[in-house]
Amino acid sequence: MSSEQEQVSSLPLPPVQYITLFNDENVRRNRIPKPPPIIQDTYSMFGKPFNADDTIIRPLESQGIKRLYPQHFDRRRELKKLNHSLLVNFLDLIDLLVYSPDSPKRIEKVDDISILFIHIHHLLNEFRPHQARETLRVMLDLQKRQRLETAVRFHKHLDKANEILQQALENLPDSELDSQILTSTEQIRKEFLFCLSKKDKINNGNDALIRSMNSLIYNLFVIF
Amino acid sequence: MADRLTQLQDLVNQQAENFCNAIGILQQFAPPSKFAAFDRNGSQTPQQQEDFAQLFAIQIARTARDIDAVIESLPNDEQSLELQVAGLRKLEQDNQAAAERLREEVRQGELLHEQVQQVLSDIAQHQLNADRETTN
Repeated sequence: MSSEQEQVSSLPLPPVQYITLFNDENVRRNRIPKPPPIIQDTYSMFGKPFNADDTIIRPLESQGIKRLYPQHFDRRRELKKLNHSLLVNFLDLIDLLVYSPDSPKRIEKVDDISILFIHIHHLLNEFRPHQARETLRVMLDLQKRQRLETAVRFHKHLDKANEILQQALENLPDSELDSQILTSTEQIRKEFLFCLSKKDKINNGNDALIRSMNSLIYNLFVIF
Repeated sequence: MADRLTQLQDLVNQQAENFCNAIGILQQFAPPSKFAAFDRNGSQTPQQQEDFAQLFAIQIARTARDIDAVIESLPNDEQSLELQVAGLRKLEQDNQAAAERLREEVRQGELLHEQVQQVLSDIAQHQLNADRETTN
C-alpha cells in the first residue's frame, strides 16, 4: 500500500468511469453493466496466445514451431539424437563466435539451439500423461492388494473368534435340572443356539452352572 | 530424488545454463590475444588463471553424458493408449470386487460382535436376577 507521507501513490487509481456506473440508482433499476462473458477460444495474454480449452495436454508442435522428427518416432532415440545435435550446434556456435562474431549466422545458430531445447522439453512433456497413468495403475494395484490382505486377516480373526466360542460352549458341563435356573439358563442357551446354531446339548445345573456361566463370560470377555 | 522426468528436465536446463555461462565467462575473462607481427613491449604475461575453457568443457560433456544415461533409463513402453486405459479399467473392477469382499467380511464380523454382546448382556441380567432371588 502507498505510504502516508508521500503524495504520490504507487498503485494505479481505481477506474472511476466504471465505479460511477455502479451507483445505487443503477443497481435499483438493474442497469448495471453485466459481467464479461466467458472466454471460449484462444485469447492473448501479455502478447502470447493462450488456449482456453486446456484439454489439449499435448498440443501439436506444428502449432508454433516447425518439427524436427517424423510422425512415428522412437522417443528415446529421438531424444538422444536431439541431445547430440545440441552439442554439435554449440560447437558450431563457438566456431562462429571465434571467426565471425557479427554475422547473421550467429543469430540463426542461437535460434537453432533454442528450437532444439524446445523439442527436448516437448518430448519430455509428452511423457507426463503416460507417467500419470502408470502411477495410477501402481496405486490401484497397491489398494487392491491391501484390501485383499485385510479381508483375509479379518477372516482369520473371525474364525479364531468362532473357535473360542465353540470351545467355551463345549466347556459348559452337563448337570442336574433345577427349574428356576433352568428357565434362565434355557433362555441363555436358546439364545446361544439361536445365535450360533451349532450345539445340541441342553444346559442345566446349579452352581456348577453358575461356575460354568462365569467361565463362559470370562471366555467371552477374552475375545472382546 | 525426484522422478526421472524431472531429473531429465533439470539436466537439460542445466546444460543450457552451461552453454550460456561458458560463452559468457570465456568472453569476459579472455586474456588479450597477440597480433601476428606486432610485439608489444612490456606485455605482461597473463597470470595463471584457472583454465575456464577446460572446466566448462568438462562440465558440458559430463552433463551431456548424464542426459544420455537418464534417457537410456526411461521406459520404452510403447504400449498404446488403449492398452493402458483397458488395464486401468480392469484394475478398477478388481478393486471394486476386493472392496465388496472386504465389506462382506466386516459385515459378518459386526454381526457376530453384536450377537455376542447381546448374549453377554443377557447373561449378566440373568445372573443379577439369580443373585437377587438367592438373597431374597
